[in-house]
Amino acid sequence: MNRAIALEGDAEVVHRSLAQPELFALLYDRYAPDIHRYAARRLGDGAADDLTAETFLAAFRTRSRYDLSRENARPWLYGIAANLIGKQRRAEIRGLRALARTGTDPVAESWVDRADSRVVAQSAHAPLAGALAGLSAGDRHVLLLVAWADLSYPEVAEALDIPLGTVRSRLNRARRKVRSALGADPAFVVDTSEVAQ
Amino acid sequence: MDEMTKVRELRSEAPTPDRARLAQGRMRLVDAAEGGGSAWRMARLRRDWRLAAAGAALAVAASAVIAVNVADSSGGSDPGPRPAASQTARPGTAQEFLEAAARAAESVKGAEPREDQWYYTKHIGASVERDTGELGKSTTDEDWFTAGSQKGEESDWTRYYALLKGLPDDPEGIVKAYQKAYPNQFDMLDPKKPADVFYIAQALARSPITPLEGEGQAKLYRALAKLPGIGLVDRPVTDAAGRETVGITLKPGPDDRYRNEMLMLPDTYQVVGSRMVVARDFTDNNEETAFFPGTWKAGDVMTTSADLVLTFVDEKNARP
Repeated sequence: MNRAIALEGDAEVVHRSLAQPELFALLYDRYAPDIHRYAARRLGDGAADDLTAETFLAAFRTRSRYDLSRENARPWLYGIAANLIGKQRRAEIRGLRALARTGTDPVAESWVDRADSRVVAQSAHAPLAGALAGLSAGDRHVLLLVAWADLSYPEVAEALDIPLGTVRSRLNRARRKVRSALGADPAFVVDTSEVAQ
Repeated sequence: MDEMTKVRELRSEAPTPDRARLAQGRMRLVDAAEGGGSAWRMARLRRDWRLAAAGAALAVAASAVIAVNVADSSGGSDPGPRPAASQTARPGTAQEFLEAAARAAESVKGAEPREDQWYYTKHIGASVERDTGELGKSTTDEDWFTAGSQKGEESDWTRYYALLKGLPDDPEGIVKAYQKAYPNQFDMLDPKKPADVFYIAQALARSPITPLEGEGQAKLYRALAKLPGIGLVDRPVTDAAGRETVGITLKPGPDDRYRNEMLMLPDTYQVVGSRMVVARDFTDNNEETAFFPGTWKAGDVMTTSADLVLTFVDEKNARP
């Protein structure tokens, strides 16, 4: 049996990859599908290929600074991906605004056959897209790491290297703006099931 | 419904990429981890027959959308042109066989696929399994690639088709042409190395688009014929689909553990498969670095793959 496969924890993989760099590919096998899908939702399927590759290359090059007390590398990788996505902020906002304006999502078009173009006609999401486009980059990162990457609040704090309280305040602000855009009462944004994480 | 549910629904139909889609990124990482060795990278690609089979298509469709394991559906169009059957018996040398293949190919001019079509590929293959040290049970893979452009960008197949039309005649020039057209995908190839020319020419000769541009296909065959060390496998090779084929291979160097075979049908000269074969007896039990740990004899087959279907279809998930 390949000894590499016997490695279990992410921290162990990162640690051993310092001496045996090729072992780092185990993290790619574990998390690249999730990172790719997350990047595709934010920027489109084509951009996700490069972004996924660059996320893992950046992680590989900075692995000596990885905090080995963190057993799960997912937040770290999502943080790197978020940073790279942030560099394409204009493209992301352009896509969201196009959806808000036309009811057709150019990002969804990147993975949906145009024969099924009705699938990318998402006029129901237009107000939401407009609200996401209007968020600050930091607020949008927090909201989408929670909603699309299923990170807990502490994991978001770890990913973005910000205090837990900042995660909560950013998320509350983002949710309030989204709810407002969706026509609901922004005063009712607090959701105990979310805050309890 | 609260706002978080609405956010979670947005673009929730985004696909999870399959292994073939992620292969290029993994190679970039492995390449960085291992200091950029091109031979290592290419060998890694070949270790799994599915990646070897997908490699050619990935090479010409970097942003292609690949889907696998979808529900049954029907429809599709004609597979396209095939060279006329050869009237001759199997030629005696690789140069003669490849020249005959080039002549058959260059007369072919097929219809270009429409922008809204997909190309469908179905492969069968097997790789050596670590546990047994023997070829595993054959499995099949299906992929659908976009034929047309995405969001108004130049389509990959159109770019590739234009490249085929303008290929130079010399092997080195062919590799350079591909490197220029796809700067991030072929940078690991050395145009002066016959093994690298062989790798790229056989992979591209097998792609679904190449046969549509017969002159380009012919140039690939003639470039292969010019390579020092090119030869025929000395006996008919049964491909992963059970067909009898002619194997084209490069004479391995003294340090090479493996050689690759391009498998062609003897009557139509169509490239239908490939194999990775042990070139000399050796033992390597380093399980973290050897491509295939164990003791191997010359002639052992490590991976084999064959094309079952390469064709354009009208709908994603459609089968011909």
